[in-house]
Amino acid sequence: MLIKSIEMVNFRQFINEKINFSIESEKNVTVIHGENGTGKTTLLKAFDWVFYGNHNLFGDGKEKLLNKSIVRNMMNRETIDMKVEVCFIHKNIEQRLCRIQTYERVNNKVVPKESNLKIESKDKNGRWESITTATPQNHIDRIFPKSLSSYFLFDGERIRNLGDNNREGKKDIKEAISTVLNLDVLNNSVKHLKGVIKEYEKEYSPEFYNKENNDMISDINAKESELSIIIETIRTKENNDDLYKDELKKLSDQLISFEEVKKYELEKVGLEGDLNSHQISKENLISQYKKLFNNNSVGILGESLFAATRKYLENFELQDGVIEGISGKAIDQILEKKECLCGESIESGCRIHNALTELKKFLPPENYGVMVNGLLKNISSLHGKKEEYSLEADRIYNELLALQIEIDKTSNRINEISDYLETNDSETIKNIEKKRKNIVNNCTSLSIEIDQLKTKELVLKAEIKEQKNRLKEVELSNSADQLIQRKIEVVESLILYFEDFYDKQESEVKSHLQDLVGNIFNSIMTKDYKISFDEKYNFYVKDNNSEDITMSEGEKQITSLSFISGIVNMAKDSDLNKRFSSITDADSTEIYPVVMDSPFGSLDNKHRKNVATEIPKLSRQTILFASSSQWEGEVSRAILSNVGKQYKMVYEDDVTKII
Amino acid sequence: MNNIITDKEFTYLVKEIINYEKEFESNNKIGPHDIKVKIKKLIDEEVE
Repeated sequence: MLIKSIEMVNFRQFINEKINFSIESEKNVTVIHGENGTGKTTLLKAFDWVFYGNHNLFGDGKEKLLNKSIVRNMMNRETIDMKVEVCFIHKNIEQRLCRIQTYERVNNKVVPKESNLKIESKDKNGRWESITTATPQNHIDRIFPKSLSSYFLFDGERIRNLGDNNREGKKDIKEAISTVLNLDVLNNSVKHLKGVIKEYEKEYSPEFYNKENNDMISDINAKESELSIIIETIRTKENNDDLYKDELKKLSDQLISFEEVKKYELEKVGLEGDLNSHQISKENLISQYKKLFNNNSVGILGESLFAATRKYLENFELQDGVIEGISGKAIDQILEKKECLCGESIESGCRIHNALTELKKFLPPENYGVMVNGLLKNISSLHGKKEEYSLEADRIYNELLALQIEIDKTSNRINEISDYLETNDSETIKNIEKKRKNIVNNCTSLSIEIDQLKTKELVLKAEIKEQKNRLKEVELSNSADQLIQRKIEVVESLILYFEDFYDKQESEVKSHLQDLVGNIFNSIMTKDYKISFDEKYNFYVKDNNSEDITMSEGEKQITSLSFISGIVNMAKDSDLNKRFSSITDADSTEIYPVVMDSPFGSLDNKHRKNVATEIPKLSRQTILFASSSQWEGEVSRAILSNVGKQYKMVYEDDVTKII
Repeated sequence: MNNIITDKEFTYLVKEIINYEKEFESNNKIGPHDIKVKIKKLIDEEVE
């Protein structure tokens, strides 16, 4: 999709303005600049309104969308239309979408009346014709779904959230990945397939519903209900945890704004980052130890038994040189079928027949030599594991010990700083720190509750699985019931497939996004920082010594732009989309424009220039809003050769003109 | 997967279900019950 133009009539401060956008491939950027308050954000929101009819663009409903001076001058019972029309090219066909909202003055109030949405396409003779194959909104939802639009329409607040790595920012990244993988479609598939199982269960004959089976089904249903409540509770609690984390960040920023405690709070923030890394390292060491124990415990615990077995068996002469894993029973079956595995026929008395009969004498059940040899080999492979285990276990133990000392030291210093802040002379600082401490305590309790719920979730899932397997093992005499059971089995395989598909793909897409963001970030930054995500979409920026760094406002802005670029690239990356389209018939070749508001906010001149150089590469078409001061100088010099169209917005008496 | 239907039949079911769900997502006239009925019919045809 390429946007050709947008026309706004009576929409907020735009009385009658039309903007034509550049659709050239070389000069792919359209710049609209103006002083603050001229309506750049309103223009971005006009896209949201015309495509999706979102009335709550400014948080105050559709009443506030009509131009203020029009509202003031309307006569009683007079009606007036507000309109936004967007013209675009989709799959080489020019189309235009027009949304109109009518208003009427009724005494002192201007009230919204009917609204109308029209979609037309241009035929080869240049005539506009209505599209009738779907309702206008369904047509738009199909070619430019709202979920996808979030990749391409970026307002200033969203850009800030991405850089701050707050709850909204993390949600944004998560949703972007979900959209690329069509998570809604996969989730709905699972939900509906579970419903299909319930439908099939109703079709079982009365003889299936004996007391035992009935009890099992009721128990499974009760456990499934409990499980869905637990999953929902975990989600709510994780959401609350994110809210607490955002609040903690705000309180920390407040403390940093006090010059007298700035140094201490910055030290505390750094230490908290260290503590987090230490905790992750500790968890890694513990899982390394668990793995080590699981792989070696048999050899260590059974060492003396294995030594005695070896000594005892060494006294016997054992037949060797026979293929392991074959039994005499298998040879019998081959001889009975009179056909070798290679397809050659085996007649009694022939060479192969004789060789197989001879081989049988050395195989179980006639001879156990080959099995004992196998056992001896396994025992030998376990010999010496105790020493290897001890060395590795010592290493892990010593590292854990050193890490725990660091954790205690870091925690003590954090507590010291916190106590210092809590006893500060300033009441404001004291109160902020007290509030912060309370929230930290709440976070700790919440995290324990979440862990407990997650354990319960695992237990319930295992119990449900076991009971379902027991139900599957019920012998069915009725053929109709057997058919239903087979169908349920197919549905269960489909559910497993959809659940696995998302989990496997999510981690790949996440690491792909991490690489994309890292590459763009490094190409803009002059420092060599690395970006990485954890499983909750928190991102960490580290320097080349792998130390966490606290970013300046400008660096945060670059991070968010790197995310935007990464998200846009991810969405248009055909290989990535093919992951999903390989199992659907989805079209993954569509391109979309990027529309972004004020991406240069807190950057210094050098970084502005670097960011500006990246902007034309974001998409086939980029529409950029910037304040005049941001646009002039470095930015315009860096990007001008890619600018196809350029406009200036001027605001006067509630009206914006585009020049 | 399972030993009741072939891999080819399984892939066909996956594709069809995704197409139904995409239609469900973009067309608000289709309800969850309609989708379940369609999926059930599809599985009936493949397994029987």
